[in-house]
Amino acid sequence: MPVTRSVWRIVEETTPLVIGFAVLELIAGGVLGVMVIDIELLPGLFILIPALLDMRGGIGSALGARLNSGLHLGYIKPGKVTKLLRTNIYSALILSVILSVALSIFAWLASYLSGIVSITFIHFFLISIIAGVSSGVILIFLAIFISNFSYEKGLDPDDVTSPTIGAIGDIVTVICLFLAVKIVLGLGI
Amino acid sequence: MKTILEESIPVLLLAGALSICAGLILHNNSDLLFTLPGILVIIPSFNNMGGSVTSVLCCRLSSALHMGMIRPKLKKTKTLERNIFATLIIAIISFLALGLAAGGFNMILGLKSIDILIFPFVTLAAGFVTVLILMTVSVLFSYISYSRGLDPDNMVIPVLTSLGDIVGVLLLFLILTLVM
Repeated sequence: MPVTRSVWRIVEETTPLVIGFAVLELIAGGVLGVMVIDIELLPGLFILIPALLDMRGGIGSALGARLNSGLHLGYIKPGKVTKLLRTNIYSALILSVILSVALSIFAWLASYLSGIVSITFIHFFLISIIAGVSSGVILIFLAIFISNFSYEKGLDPDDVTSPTIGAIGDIVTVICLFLAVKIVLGLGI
Repeated sequence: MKTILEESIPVLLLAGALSICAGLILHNNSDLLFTLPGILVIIPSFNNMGGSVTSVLCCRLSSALHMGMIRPKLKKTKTLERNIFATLIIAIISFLALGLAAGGFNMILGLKSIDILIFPFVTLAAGFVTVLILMTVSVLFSYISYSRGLDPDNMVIPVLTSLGDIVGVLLLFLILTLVM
């Protein structure tokens, strides 16, 4: 019974994972740190960053969790494209598009309402949609791969699969964000 | 597909709106982040750490509730006490480790940051208070979502993640201004 285990068992089991994933995520932070010069050129971009990172985690981990239960219940077969798998992929794609658009509206609205001198709505929109959709596509494949892999290896979906997708998802998102920023700056709008 | 979208969109929109608030806090501290980009490096890890430490608690509590090991009443039980205690220990060790790792990582990348000896204590202080706040919310949420029959995985975790971003970033900058 997982709940009655002693305090130290819980600490011993969880701490290495928490620290491990945090160190992995420092890579995402490192990319942000290096791209700070570009962020300075796009005032207000900070408003979008946490939301963009969480959205990826939210969609990717939820997809991973659903794929995992699908695999365990036998609705999804490893390495095969079933109807359920396709439904999940399409939903994740649609969610990526809807949320990318919504977040750019939220970010622009937030900066407008609080009177921040920031980039225009078009900037927010382009950066959010380029970064959100491209990282969404990569993350869907990643979620399929990781959930298949952890199913075959018998890893715990809650403890391992979702945080792995979340951490790698952040790295992918930040790299896509970096590219989106470069594209928008390159367009010179 | 319709059910997946219908279930996910409202929660993800709410979570997104909350995360935008965290973004506003980041923006308000832009000057500090531009001069010391090393602080920006810990933001993704720091945000997720508070969330992941408390989500684990939330998962354990909801399985305990479903298995009938904890009654859905806010009474002190051994299981609840143990889980809270474990969560706090995990938080202390993890946030100290994060500050150390980030300090080292910044040195490798050559990014300007605060003193490597102070960094772990900043992350610890900000992280510990964040976890205390999130833990209270997490315990309350898992009881509420259990008694209302909502799936805690779908509801609690995204909201907890975004709430963690706001509280975490706010406390991080508060502690940073106190230290500097």
